[in-house]
Amino acid sequence: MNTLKAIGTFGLGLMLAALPSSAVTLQTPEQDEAAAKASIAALSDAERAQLKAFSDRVKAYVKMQRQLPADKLSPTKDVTKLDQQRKALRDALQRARPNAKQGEIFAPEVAPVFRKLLHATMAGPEGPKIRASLNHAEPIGPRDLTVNGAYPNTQGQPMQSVPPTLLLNLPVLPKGVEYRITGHTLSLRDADANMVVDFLPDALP
Amino acid sequence: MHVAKYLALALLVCAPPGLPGGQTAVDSKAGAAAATAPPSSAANGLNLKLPLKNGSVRWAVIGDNGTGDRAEQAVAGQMQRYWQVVKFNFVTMDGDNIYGGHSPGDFQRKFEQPYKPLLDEGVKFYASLGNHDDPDIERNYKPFDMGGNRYYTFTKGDVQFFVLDSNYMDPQQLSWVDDKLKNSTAKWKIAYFHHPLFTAARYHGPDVDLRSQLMPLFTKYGVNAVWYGHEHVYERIKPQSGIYFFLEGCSGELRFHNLRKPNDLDQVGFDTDRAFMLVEVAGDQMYFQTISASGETVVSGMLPRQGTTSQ
Repeated sequence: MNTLKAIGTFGLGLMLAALPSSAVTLQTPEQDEAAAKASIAALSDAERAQLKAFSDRVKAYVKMQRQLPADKLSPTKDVTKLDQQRKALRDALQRARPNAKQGEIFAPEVAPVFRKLLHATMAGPEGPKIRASLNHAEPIGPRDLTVNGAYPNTQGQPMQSVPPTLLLNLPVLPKGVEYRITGHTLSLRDADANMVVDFLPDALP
Repeated sequence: MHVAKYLALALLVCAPPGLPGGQTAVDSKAGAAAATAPPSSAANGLNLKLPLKNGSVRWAVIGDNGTGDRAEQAVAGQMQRYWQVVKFNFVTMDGDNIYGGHSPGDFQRKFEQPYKPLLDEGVKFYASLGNHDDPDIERNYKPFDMGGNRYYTFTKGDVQFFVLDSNYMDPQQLSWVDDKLKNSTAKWKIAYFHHPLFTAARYHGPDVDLRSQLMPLFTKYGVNAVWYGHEHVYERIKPQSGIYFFLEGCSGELRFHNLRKPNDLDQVGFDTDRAFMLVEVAGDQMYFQTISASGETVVSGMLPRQGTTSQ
């Protein structure tokens, strides 16, 4: 089960630094990784199978995106060209999945598994520092997300950073797709097309 | 830890008298003759504190700069003045490179125009991404030299830079950091990114979750110095686990009087004007000078490479 194996595999052997006093109790990366594994381990076989199916759907999306006959962004000084390429890729994706709807990748079967994972993570020992990190990073309030629509940062709005320990507790995504947080919503953003691939309302407590 | 001992002994820092209010100058002024300005700086009316040694690596640091307003231009003007003497050939950017809109005109007004004299001289800019940046466009915007990547590394002389994306520190990036640091043979390892691991600023505060993931890697692999922004102030933070930390987040934006005072974290804090930094690495010594938009030297000094007794 590649996704589950991948979760937290990088953190072995890390050491805890001597940290100054802080408002939250910090765990070591080993403890974070152990907690992430425990969160996954606490899932039933059926729930783990749903996460595997989710990962397969994301991989299928990325494979489809990479096969589209659209130029990918590459370094240039021409910002207009970058904007046009990104828009062209988004248009191509919209044509390739015209009927995409919310819940297609965050399918109804996996939605409660994500909510369970996120609620358990936020209620667990690493919850306080994740909350502190979310509050630290100019929290982004609820936004209207539309599947296949542009991610709502096109008017210069800041993007909410995603706490690394939260990412550690979620299935690893292939390159080009990211988890993003707006309010209580967890979304999947196509990082080449700046497009909402799917989103899960009420994912975070 | 022996590193701390060397820090206490060898830190040579001077802060100018009469600096505007808001500075928390707690550095030792003992042995303040850290650097001797070359004659050419005096001729230019500059108060240069870097030694400008042969073969040294010299660069400037800016952060939270991309406003396009007069304050950013004032800092850029000071950078240009100092470039005439220092001839730094690159600039590191702590993120929030472009605030607000990201149209071609915004890139002109918030980056290309303010730094045009430097760009025209061939000075390279190596950007990291802040929360106000458009990651897809900026990582591909050639003048930011990110090569299409959210995170990357580059080497100048004895110094290897690790440029991270603290907006999205996913497992893949942490694994990359681990791998790159582990395999680095550079004498100096310097990381920079946007979100602060330690800060006495009140607006955001430190990102403790990010800190808990990065500090073990930094200490394990001997990172020497770390820069970040996000808070719109300047801070030189007391070494943490032997690592030097700087917050340079006021090269365009400024949050007046935002530092907690007193605090036991900062060696120097400055929150009453915009600023940028000049840095010079020569052998086992790292010299730095922080300069305000009005041209005053906020602080300067020399830091030895950890584990050496550099003089």
